[in-house]
Amino acid sequence: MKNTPDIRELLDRYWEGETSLEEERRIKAFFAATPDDDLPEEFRQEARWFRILQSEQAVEAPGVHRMALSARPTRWYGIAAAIVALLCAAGVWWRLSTPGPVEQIVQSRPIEKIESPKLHDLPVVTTPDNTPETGQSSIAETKSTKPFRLKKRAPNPVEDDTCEDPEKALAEIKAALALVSSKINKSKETLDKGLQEVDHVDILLKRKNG
Amino acid sequence: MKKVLLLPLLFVAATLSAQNDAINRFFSQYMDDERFTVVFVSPKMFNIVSKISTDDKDWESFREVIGDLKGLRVLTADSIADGMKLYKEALDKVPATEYEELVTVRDGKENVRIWVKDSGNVINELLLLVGSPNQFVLLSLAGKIDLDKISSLSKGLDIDGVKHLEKAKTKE
Amino acid sequence: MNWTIFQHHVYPIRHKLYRFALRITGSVPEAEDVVQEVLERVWKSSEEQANNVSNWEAWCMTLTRNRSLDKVRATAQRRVVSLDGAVARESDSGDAARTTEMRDLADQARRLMQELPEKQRLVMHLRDVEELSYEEIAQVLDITLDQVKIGLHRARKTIREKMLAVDARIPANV
Repeated sequence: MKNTPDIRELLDRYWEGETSLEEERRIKAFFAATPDDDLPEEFRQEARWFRILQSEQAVEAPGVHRMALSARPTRWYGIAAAIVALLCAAGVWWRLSTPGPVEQIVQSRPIEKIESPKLHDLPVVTTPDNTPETGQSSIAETKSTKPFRLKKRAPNPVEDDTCEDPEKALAEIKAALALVSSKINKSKETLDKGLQEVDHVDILLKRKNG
Repeated sequence: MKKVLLLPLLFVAATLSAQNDAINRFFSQYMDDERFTVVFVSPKMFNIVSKISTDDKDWESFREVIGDLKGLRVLTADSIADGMKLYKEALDKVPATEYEELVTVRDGKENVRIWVKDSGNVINELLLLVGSPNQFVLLSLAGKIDLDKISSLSKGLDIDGVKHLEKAKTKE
Repeated sequence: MNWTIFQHHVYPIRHKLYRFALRITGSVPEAEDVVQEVLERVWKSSEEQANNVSNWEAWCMTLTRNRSLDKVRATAQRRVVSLDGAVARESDSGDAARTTEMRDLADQARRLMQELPEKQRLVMHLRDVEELSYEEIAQVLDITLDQVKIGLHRARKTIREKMLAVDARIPANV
């Protein structure tokens, strides 16, 4: 057991407010490591105090959602030019990933409880020659412009979108479906090839009879 | 060679069942972990996205699939040290009573599993788990899921997601 | 404010900010609101503001303190000083993960600390729970070093007396 007179002296100075941070940490470590049964009677009450402190230190903020941003965060307020540039870039990105003559984001149907300012007159049309032109469109956000929200004691923590931008959400959805698709197809291919070797690829493909 | 059963699938209208608690807990556990990238797409967002209109010819089939989806959650870590440990951890969390294993593929160091949860003849949740020494993906897709339609999508899709995985694989 | 700074300097200290807000407001929902607001405020801060900050933690703690005090003053009239009520509310609200013992300790802690005058309470919180140095405490609370020392001395003295009084009433093996 640790040197009791040592601790006694530290504790006395602690209550007087004369200990350094390092000494205080030593006291806390001592009590954390020593169960009540091993403590002399006189220390038990003080031990309780340090247990209280320990439990206070463990308190945590409810979960915070972050946006899973691959690029720098977008600011939805600010000069129009910045918004234009950003959305043109996004429009170009989409166009590059999904080749098509003309794309246009149209207004979605009004969502109840819009908490955030709308984005007005945002140009998102790109033509085949890649020159962005302005079009009539606006995107109403379903959630607030806050990049994160504290979860308030939600039983199901997974509720909030990580992307506020439908285009980004779409990109994520595509990536997800592509991934699922490729894995399913890979397994089908291997099955079709009538793979003989079992030791480096195992396949189990079951489907239910409808 | 392992015996394999192949039977056709049949889908009808779906209802969304609540996503599993153990999986939820896994997501919340790692949601705030800096090593992971997190993507959540809510039913509302799926709704908005499905209303985007474009003249892209591939879009229509794609939109059909999206229109039926209700939720997407993805947890990815692509350069970590303990990918397989996480894979096993997630594996343990998938309750065999609720999820039916559809695909298990081990290709080199990469392990993949796909489960589906269905009620009646309809798949309403799909879980994809990928694990390799430095990579981990857990993906949960909810809604009315048509596997045939999804697997036929790969032609039109941007396959960055797959490339991203391929890139990780070549590191090994 | 860029994402890198936010992710590395601000986001990781959210728990500390929450505990601080909770200590000041005594209310879980208010503390949550405070942290939300502080994080947003920091997130929205301009590049120059961000560049002028030398100590992120201190800045965020100060913002938390100010916002929390605002809330306390705003609800001062409505606030019923019922520690039992506050404590009961806090135990209902998502502390389920903590063991019964931890909850009891937490209740005791809050009771003991909430009864301290505000300045003493906050100095004690910052020192004993968050382990800040005297200088840091002085900076966050915007008081002098002497005031920190005096506050801490008095707070600890009071706590010790209270614990002695409590202990006299209850059996030794708690």
